[in-house]
Amino acid sequence: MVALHLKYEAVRGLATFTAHSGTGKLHPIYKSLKDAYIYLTLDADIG
Amino acid sequence: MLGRRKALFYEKLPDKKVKCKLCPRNCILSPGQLSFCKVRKNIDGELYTLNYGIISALGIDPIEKKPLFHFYPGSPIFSISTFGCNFKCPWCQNWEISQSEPNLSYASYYPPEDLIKLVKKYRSPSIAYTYNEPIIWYEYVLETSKLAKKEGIMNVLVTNGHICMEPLEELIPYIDAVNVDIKAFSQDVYSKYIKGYLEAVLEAIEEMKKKGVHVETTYLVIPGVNDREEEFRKMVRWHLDRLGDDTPLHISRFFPHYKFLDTSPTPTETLERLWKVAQEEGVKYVYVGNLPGHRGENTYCPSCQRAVIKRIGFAITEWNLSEDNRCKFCGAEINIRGRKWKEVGGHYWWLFI
Repeated sequence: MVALHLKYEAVRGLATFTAHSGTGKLHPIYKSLKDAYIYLTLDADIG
Repeated sequence: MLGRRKALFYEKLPDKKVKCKLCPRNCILSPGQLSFCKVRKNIDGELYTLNYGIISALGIDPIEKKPLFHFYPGSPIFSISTFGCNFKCPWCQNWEISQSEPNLSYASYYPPEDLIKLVKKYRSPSIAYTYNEPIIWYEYVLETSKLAKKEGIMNVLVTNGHICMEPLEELIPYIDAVNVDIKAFSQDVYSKYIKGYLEAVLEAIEEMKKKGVHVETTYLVIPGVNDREEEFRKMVRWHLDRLGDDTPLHISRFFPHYKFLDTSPTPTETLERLWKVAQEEGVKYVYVGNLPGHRGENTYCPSCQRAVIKRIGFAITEWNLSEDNRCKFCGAEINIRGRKWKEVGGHYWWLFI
Protein backbone atom coordinates (compact mmCIF):
# COMPACT_ATOMS: atom_id res chain seq x y z
CA MET A 1 0.00 0.00 0.00
CA VAL A 2 1.25 3.38 -0.92
CA ALA A 3 2.29 5.51 2.04
CA LEU A 4 -0.09 8.38 1.34
CA HIS A 5 -2.71 6.35 3.15
CA LEU A 6 -0.87 6.68 6.42
CA LYS A 7 -3.29 9.15 7.95
CA TYR A 8 -6.28 7.03 7.12
CA GLU A 9 -4.56 4.00 8.54
CA ALA A 10 -4.12 5.76 11.88
CA VAL A 11 -7.69 4.87 12.78
CA ARG A 12 -6.79 1.22 12.85
CA GLY A 13 -4.61 1.68 15.94
CA LEU A 14 -2.61 -1.46 15.42
CA ALA A 15 0.73 -0.04 16.50
CA THR A 16 0.42 -0.31 20.24
CA PHE A 17 -0.92 -3.83 19.94
CA THR A 18 2.19 -5.49 18.56
CA ALA A 19 4.88 -2.88 18.91
CA HIS A 20 4.61 -3.14 22.65
CA SER A 21 4.33 -6.88 22.52
CA GLY A 22 2.02 -6.94 25.50
CA THR A 23 4.74 -5.77 27.86
CA GLY A 24 4.20 -2.04 27.74
CA LYS A 25 7.70 -1.65 26.29
CA LEU A 26 8.62 -1.01 22.68
CA HIS A 27 9.66 -4.21 20.95
CA PRO A 28 13.46 -4.10 20.45
CA ILE A 29 13.21 -4.53 16.68
CA TYR A 30 11.76 -1.03 16.38
CA LYS A 31 13.99 1.99 16.80
CA SER A 32 11.16 4.29 17.79
CA LEU A 33 7.42 4.27 18.13
CA LYS A 34 7.23 6.10 14.79
CA ASP A 35 9.21 3.31 13.18
CA ALA A 36 6.95 0.67 14.71
CA TYR A 37 3.86 2.63 13.85
CA ILE A 38 4.70 2.85 10.17
CA TYR A 39 5.69 -0.78 9.96
CA LEU A 40 2.49 -1.98 11.51
CA THR A 41 -0.14 0.26 10.03
CA LEU A 42 0.46 -0.16 6.33
CA ASP A 43 -1.06 -3.06 4.44
CA ALA A 44 1.13 -5.09 2.15
CA ASP A 45 1.02 -4.04 -1.51
CA ILE A 46 -1.62 -5.53 -3.76
CA GLY A 47 -1.14 -6.24 -7.43
CA MET B 1 4.02 16.95 -23.31
CA LEU B 2 5.26 15.27 -20.14
CA GLY B 3 4.06 11.73 -19.71
CA ARG B 4 2.93 11.28 -23.31
CA ARG B 5 4.76 8.63 -25.30
CA LYS B 6 3.85 6.48 -28.31
CA ALA B 7 2.49 3.22 -26.97
CA LEU B 8 3.77 -0.26 -27.74
CA PHE B 9 1.50 -3.15 -28.72
CA TYR B 10 -1.46 -1.83 -30.62
CA GLU B 11 -3.06 -2.32 -33.98
CA LYS B 12 -4.36 0.32 -36.34
CA LEU B 13 -7.94 -0.20 -37.51
CA PRO B 14 -10.07 1.52 -40.17
CA ASP B 15 -11.43 5.02 -39.44
CA LYS B 16 -8.38 5.89 -37.33
CA LYS B 17 -9.47 3.51 -34.61
CA VAL B 18 -6.84 1.57 -32.67
CA LYS B 19 -6.90 -1.71 -30.77
CA CYS B 20 -4.71 -1.86 -27.66
CA LYS B 21 -3.00 -5.23 -27.38
CA LEU B 22 -1.31 -4.72 -24.02
CA CYS B 23 -3.90 -6.34 -21.77
CA PRO B 24 -6.54 -8.95 -22.54
CA ARG B 25 -9.23 -6.31 -22.43
CA ASN B 26 -8.09 -5.22 -25.95
CA CYS B 27 -9.77 -1.81 -25.88
CA ILE B 28 -10.82 -0.52 -29.29
CA LEU B 29 -10.55 3.26 -29.22
CA SER B 30 -11.85 5.93 -31.57
CA PRO B 31 -9.79 9.10 -32.05
CA GLY B 32 -9.80 11.12 -28.82
CA GLN B 33 -11.02 8.19 -26.75
CA LEU B 34 -9.37 7.18 -23.48
CA SER B 35 -8.77 3.52 -22.62
CA PHE B 36 -10.50 1.60 -19.82
CA CYS B 37 -7.31 1.98 -17.73
CA LYS B 38 -7.46 5.78 -18.20
CA VAL B 39 -3.84 6.14 -19.24
CA ARG B 40 -3.81 5.26 -22.94
CA LYS B 41 -5.40 7.40 -25.60
CA ASN B 42 -6.08 7.35 -29.29
CA ILE B 43 -4.60 10.58 -30.64
CA ASP B 44 -5.33 10.96 -34.32
CA GLY B 45 -5.19 7.24 -35.04
CA GLU B 46 -2.11 6.46 -32.92
CA LEU B 47 -2.09 4.99 -29.42
CA TYR B 48 -0.26 6.95 -26.74
CA THR B 49 0.53 6.24 -23.12
CA LEU B 50 -0.16 9.26 -20.91
CA ASN B 51 1.59 8.22 -17.69
CA TYR B 52 5.17 7.70 -18.88
CA GLY B 53 7.42 8.70 -15.95
CA ILE B 54 4.62 10.44 -14.05
CA ILE B 55 5.50 9.13 -10.61
CA SER B 56 2.65 9.40 -8.13
CA ALA B 57 4.42 7.75 -5.19
CA LEU B 58 8.00 6.89 -4.44
CA GLY B 59 9.50 5.37 -1.33
CA ILE B 60 11.80 2.71 0.05
CA ASP B 61 9.84 -0.20 1.50
CA PRO B 62 11.00 -3.42 3.09
CA ILE B 63 10.75 -6.13 0.42
CA GLU B 64 8.45 -8.07 2.77
CA LYS B 65 5.80 -5.43 2.15
CA LYS B 66 5.48 -6.29 -1.58
CA PRO B 67 5.02 -9.02 -0.21
CA LEU B 68 8.08 -11.05 -1.17
CA PHE B 69 9.24 -13.29 1.68
CA HIS B 70 11.55 -15.54 -0.33
CA PHE B 71 13.51 -13.01 -2.38
CA TYR B 72 16.46 -11.20 -0.81
CA PRO B 73 14.79 -11.19 2.61
CA GLY B 74 15.19 -8.04 4.68
CA SER B 75 16.31 -5.90 1.75
CA PRO B 76 15.02 -2.41 1.02
CA ILE B 77 13.21 -1.95 -2.28
CA PHE B 78 12.75 1.31 -4.13
CA SER B 79 9.02 1.40 -4.85
CA ILE B 80 7.27 3.57 -7.41
CA SER B 81 3.86 4.04 -8.97
CA THR B 82 2.04 6.12 -11.57
CA PHE B 83 -1.72 6.41 -12.21
CA GLY B 84 -4.45 4.17 -13.61
CA CYS B 85 -5.38 0.49 -13.61
CA ASN B 86 -6.85 -2.08 -15.98
CA PHE B 87 -9.05 -3.42 -13.15
CA LYS B 88 -11.86 -1.75 -11.23
CA CYS B 89 -11.67 -3.49 -7.86
CA PRO B 90 -14.14 -1.66 -5.61
CA TRP B 91 -11.99 -2.52 -2.56
CA CYS B 92 -8.75 -1.07 -3.97
CA GLN B 93 -6.41 0.18 -1.25
CA ASN B 94 -4.76 2.69 -3.61
CA TRP B 95 -7.83 3.84 -5.49
CA GLU B 96 -6.80 7.52 -5.38
CA ILE B 97 -4.04 6.75 -7.86
CA SER B 98 -5.32 3.56 -9.50
CA GLN B 99 -8.70 4.92 -10.52
CA SER B 100 -7.64 8.33 -11.74
CA GLU B 101 -6.02 9.84 -14.79
CA PRO B 102 -2.40 11.02 -14.64
CA ASN B 103 -2.19 14.27 -12.72
CA LEU B 104 1.08 16.16 -12.45
CA SER B 105 -0.22 18.28 -9.56
CA TYR B 106 0.15 15.18 -7.40
CA ALA B 107 3.15 13.66 -9.08
CA SER B 108 6.69 14.27 -10.33
CA TYR B 109 8.25 13.47 -13.67
CA TYR B 110 11.20 11.09 -13.53
CA PRO B 111 12.68 9.90 -16.81
CA PRO B 112 14.16 6.39 -16.40
CA GLU B 113 17.75 7.72 -16.21
CA ASP B 114 16.87 10.05 -13.32
CA LEU B 115 15.04 7.33 -11.48
CA ILE B 116 18.00 4.97 -11.74
CA LYS B 117 20.28 7.71 -10.36
CA LEU B 118 17.99 8.04 -7.37
CA VAL B 119 17.87 4.29 -6.81
CA LYS B 120 21.66 4.19 -6.85
CA LYS B 121 21.90 7.19 -4.51
CA TYR B 122 19.84 5.32 -1.93
CA ARG B 123 21.71 2.09 -2.62
CA SER B 124 18.59 0.05 -3.16
CA PRO B 125 19.28 -3.36 -4.71
CA SER B 126 15.94 -3.45 -6.48
CA ILE B 127 13.02 -1.46 -7.87
CA ALA B 128 9.37 -2.38 -7.34
CA TYR B 129 6.82 -1.27 -9.90
CA THR B 130 3.87 -1.30 -7.57
CA TYR B 131 0.96 0.50 -5.80
CA ASN B 132 -0.94 0.92 -9.08
CA GLU B 133 -0.89 -1.67 -11.86
CA PRO B 134 2.53 -1.64 -13.61
CA ILE B 135 1.23 -3.36 -16.74
CA ILE B 136 -0.49 -0.17 -17.81
CA TRP B 137 2.74 1.84 -17.60
CA TYR B 138 4.43 -0.87 -19.59
CA GLU B 139 6.61 1.40 -21.73
CA TYR B 140 8.18 3.04 -18.66
CA VAL B 141 8.60 -0.26 -16.82
CA LEU B 142 10.29 -1.83 -19.84
CA GLU B 143 12.71 1.02 -20.42
CA THR B 144 13.53 1.51 -16.73
CA SER B 145 13.99 -2.19 -16.06
CA LYS B 146 16.41 -2.47 -19.00
CA LEU B 147 18.49 0.38 -17.58
CA ALA B 148 18.28 -1.06 -14.08
CA LYS B 149 19.49 -4.44 -15.28
CA LYS B 150 22.55 -2.81 -16.86
CA GLU B 151 23.34 -1.23 -13.50
CA GLY B 152 22.92 -4.51 -11.62
CA ILE B 153 19.63 -3.43 -10.03
CA MET B 154 16.86 -6.03 -9.84
CA ASN B 155 13.29 -5.45 -11.01
CA VAL B 156 10.14 -6.53 -9.19
CA LEU B 157 6.54 -6.34 -10.38
CA VAL B 158 3.60 -6.25 -7.99
CA THR B 159 0.84 -6.93 -10.45
CA ASN B 160 -2.63 -8.24 -11.17
CA GLY B 161 -1.14 -10.32 -14.02
CA HIS B 162 -3.68 -9.11 -16.59
CA ILE B 163 -1.38 -8.85 -19.58
CA CYS B 164 -1.23 -10.30 -23.09
CA MET B 165 1.43 -12.87 -23.83
CA GLU B 166 3.44 -10.88 -26.40
CA PRO B 167 4.21 -7.87 -24.17
CA LEU B 168 4.80 -10.22 -21.26
CA GLU B 169 7.41 -12.18 -23.20
CA GLU B 170 9.25 -8.99 -24.07
CA LEU B 171 9.32 -7.86 -20.44
CA ILE B 172 10.18 -11.15 -18.72
CA PRO B 173 13.96 -11.09 -19.43
CA TYR B 174 14.28 -7.95 -17.30
CA ILE B 175 12.08 -9.04 -14.39
CA ASP B 176 13.64 -10.83 -11.45
CA ALA B 177 10.66 -11.34 -9.17
CA VAL B 178 6.94 -10.87 -9.13
CA ASN B 179 4.07 -10.98 -6.72
CA VAL B 180 0.80 -11.56 -8.55
CA ASP B 181 -2.51 -10.96 -6.85
CA ILE B 182 -5.17 -13.55 -7.59
CA LYS B 183 -8.32 -11.62 -6.76
CA ALA B 184 -10.57 -14.66 -6.63
CA PHE B 185 -10.73 -18.07 -8.21
CA SER B 186 -13.95 -17.46 -10.04
CA GLN B 187 -14.61 -15.71 -13.33
CA ASP B 188 -17.89 -14.48 -11.81
CA VAL B 189 -15.97 -12.32 -9.33
CA TYR B 190 -13.61 -11.14 -12.07
CA SER B 191 -16.62 -10.21 -14.23
CA LYS B 192 -18.82 -8.68 -11.54
CA TYR B 193 -16.30 -6.58 -9.63
CA ILE B 194 -12.97 -6.47 -11.37
CA LYS B 195 -13.75 -6.42 -15.10
CA GLY B 196 -11.00 -8.79 -16.11
CA TYR B 197 -10.27 -12.37 -17.08
CA LEU B 198 -9.04 -14.90 -14.52
CA GLU B 199 -7.73 -17.31 -17.15
CA ALA B 200 -5.42 -14.67 -18.62
CA VAL B 201 -4.02 -13.94 -15.16
CA LEU B 202 -3.32 -17.61 -14.48
CA GLU B 203 -1.62 -18.03 -17.86
CA ALA B 204 0.62 -15.03 -17.20
CA ILE B 205 1.66 -16.37 -13.78
CA GLU B 206 2.47 -19.78 -15.24
CA GLU B 207 4.51 -18.22 -18.01
CA MET B 208 6.60 -16.14 -15.61
CA LYS B 209 7.23 -19.16 -13.41
CA LYS B 210 8.19 -21.24 -16.45
CA LYS B 211 10.66 -18.58 -17.59
CA GLY B 212 12.46 -18.53 -14.24
CA VAL B 213 11.03 -15.37 -12.66
CA HIS B 214 10.80 -15.70 -8.87
CA VAL B 215 7.03 -15.91 -8.26
CA GLU B 216 4.96 -15.40 -5.12
CA THR B 217 1.19 -14.99 -5.14
CA THR B 218 -1.24 -13.12 -2.93
CA TYR B 219 -4.88 -13.87 -2.19
CA LEU B 220 -6.63 -10.97 -0.46
CA VAL B 221 -9.53 -12.50 1.45
CA ILE B 222 -12.61 -10.30 1.20
CA PRO B 223 -15.60 -11.36 3.31
CA GLY B 224 -18.53 -12.32 1.12
CA VAL B 225 -16.55 -12.03 -2.13
CA ASN B 226 -13.86 -14.71 -2.26
CA ASP B 227 -13.73 -16.30 1.20
CA ARG B 228 -15.50 -19.57 0.39
CA GLU B 229 -13.33 -22.53 1.32
CA GLU B 230 -14.29 -24.46 -1.80
CA GLU B 231 -13.15 -21.67 -4.12
CA PHE B 232 -9.96 -21.15 -2.16
CA ARG B 233 -9.17 -24.87 -2.24
CA LYS B 234 -9.52 -24.86 -6.03
CA MET B 235 -7.04 -21.99 -6.20
CA VAL B 236 -4.62 -23.87 -3.96
CA ARG B 237 -4.85 -26.97 -6.14
CA TRP B 238 -4.13 -24.89 -9.22
CA HIS B 239 -1.18 -23.33 -7.35
CA LEU B 240 0.25 -26.76 -6.52
CA ASP B 241 -0.30 -28.12 -10.00
CA ARG B 242 1.04 -25.17 -11.99
CA LEU B 243 3.45 -23.33 -9.70
CA GLY B 244 4.64 -26.13 -7.44
CA ASP B 245 4.51 -26.70 -3.71
CA ASP B 246 7.48 -24.45 -2.96
CA THR B 247 5.98 -21.28 -4.47
CA PRO B 248 5.03 -18.97 -1.58
CA LEU B 249 1.37 -18.06 -1.13
CA HIS B 250 0.28 -15.02 0.89
CA ILE B 251 -3.22 -14.98 2.33
CA SER B 252 -3.86 -11.34 3.20
CA ARG B 253 -6.30 -9.64 5.49
CA PHE B 254 -8.67 -7.17 3.87
CA PHE B 255 -9.36 -3.75 5.40
CA PRO B 256 -12.19 -1.52 4.21
CA HIS B 257 -11.23 0.81 1.36
CA TYR B 258 -12.79 2.76 -1.52
CA LYS B 259 -16.32 1.47 -2.20
CA PHE B 260 -16.05 -1.39 0.29
CA LEU B 261 -16.17 0.68 3.45
CA ASP B 262 -19.14 -1.26 4.81
CA THR B 263 -17.41 -4.61 4.61
CA SER B 264 -15.67 -5.68 7.80
CA PRO B 265 -11.98 -6.56 7.94
CA THR B 266 -11.39 -10.26 7.33
CA PRO B 267 -11.90 -12.15 10.58
CA THR B 268 -8.73 -13.76 11.94
CA GLU B 269 -10.56 -17.12 12.05
CA THR B 270 -11.20 -16.99 8.28
CA LEU B 271 -7.55 -16.32 7.56
CA GLU B 272 -6.47 -19.12 9.87
CA ARG B 273 -8.95 -21.53 8.29
CA LEU B 274 -7.65 -20.81 4.78
CA TRP B 275 -4.06 -20.90 6.02
CA LYS B 276 -4.71 -24.43 7.25
CA VAL B 277 -6.42 -25.45 4.01
CA ALA B 278 -3.37 -24.41 1.98
CA GLN B 279 -1.05 -26.26 4.34
CA GLU B 280 -3.23 -29.39 4.32
CA GLU B 281 -3.26 -29.39 0.53
CA GLY B 282 0.54 -29.30 0.53
CA VAL B 283 1.74 -25.75 -0.10
CA LYS B 284 5.03 -25.53 1.79
CA TYR B 285 5.21 -21.79 2.34
CA VAL B 286 1.89 -20.19 3.25
CA TYR B 287 1.67 -16.82 4.97
CA VAL B 288 -0.95 -14.78 6.73
CA GLY B 289 -0.60 -11.11 5.77
CA ASN B 290 -1.72 -7.81 7.33
CA LEU B 291 -2.01 -9.40 10.75
CA PRO B 292 1.20 -8.27 12.47
CA GLY B 293 2.39 -10.57 15.21
CA HIS B 294 0.54 -13.64 13.89
CA ARG B 295 2.52 -16.89 13.71
CA GLY B 296 1.47 -17.21 10.07
CA GLU B 297 4.05 -14.54 9.23
CA ASN B 298 6.89 -16.95 9.94
CA THR B 299 8.60 -19.34 7.54
CA TYR B 300 8.51 -22.92 8.78
CA CYS B 301 10.86 -25.61 7.57
CA PRO B 302 8.75 -28.05 5.51
CA SER B 303 10.93 -30.87 6.79
CA CYS B 304 11.22 -30.36 10.58
CA GLN B 305 8.44 -27.73 11.00
CA ARG B 306 10.66 -25.41 13.06
CA ALA B 307 10.48 -21.65 12.43
CA VAL B 308 13.43 -20.79 10.22
CA ILE B 309 12.49 -17.14 9.73
CA LYS B 310 10.45 -15.25 12.29
CA ARG B 311 8.79 -11.98 11.40
CA ILE B 312 6.70 -9.27 12.95
CA GLY B 313 4.95 -7.24 10.29
CA PHE B 314 7.54 -6.60 7.62
CA ALA B 315 10.56 -7.02 9.89
CA ILE B 316 12.64 -10.15 10.35
CA THR B 317 13.14 -10.88 14.03
CA GLU B 318 14.89 -14.25 13.88
CA TRP B 319 16.94 -15.98 11.19
CA ASN B 320 17.66 -19.69 11.41
CA LEU B 321 19.08 -20.42 7.98
CA SER B 322 22.62 -21.27 6.96
CA GLU B 323 24.61 -19.24 4.43
CA ASP B 324 23.23 -21.44 1.64
CA ASN B 325 19.63 -21.03 2.85
CA ARG B 326 19.27 -24.40 4.57
CA CYS B 327 17.37 -25.01 7.78
CA LYS B 328 19.78 -24.60 10.69
CA PHE B 329 17.96 -27.33 12.60
CA CYS B 330 17.70 -30.15 10.06
CA GLY B 331 19.63 -29.01 6.97
CA ALA B 332 16.65 -29.06 4.60
CA GLU B 333 16.83 -26.71 1.64
CA ILE B 334 14.48 -23.71 1.86
CA ASN B 335 13.35 -22.13 -1.40
CA ILE B 336 14.78 -18.64 -0.97
CA ARG B 337 16.40 -16.64 -3.72
CA GLY B 338 19.26 -14.44 -2.55
CA ARG B 339 20.70 -14.08 0.88
CA LYS B 340 19.44 -12.12 3.84
CA TRP B 341 20.20 -8.44 3.45
CA LYS B 342 22.84 -7.34 5.91
CA GLU B 343 23.82 -3.86 4.84
CA VAL B 344 21.55 -1.61 6.84
CA GLY B 345 18.77 -3.73 8.20
CA GLY B 346 15.87 -2.13 6.38
CA HIS B 347 14.93 0.31 9.12
CA TYR B 348 15.46 3.49 7.16
CA TRP B 349 12.91 2.99 4.43
CA TRP B 350 10.35 5.35 5.93
CA LEU B 351 12.67 8.38 5.64
CA PHE B 352 11.10 8.99 2.24
CA ILE B 353 7.57 9.34 3.53
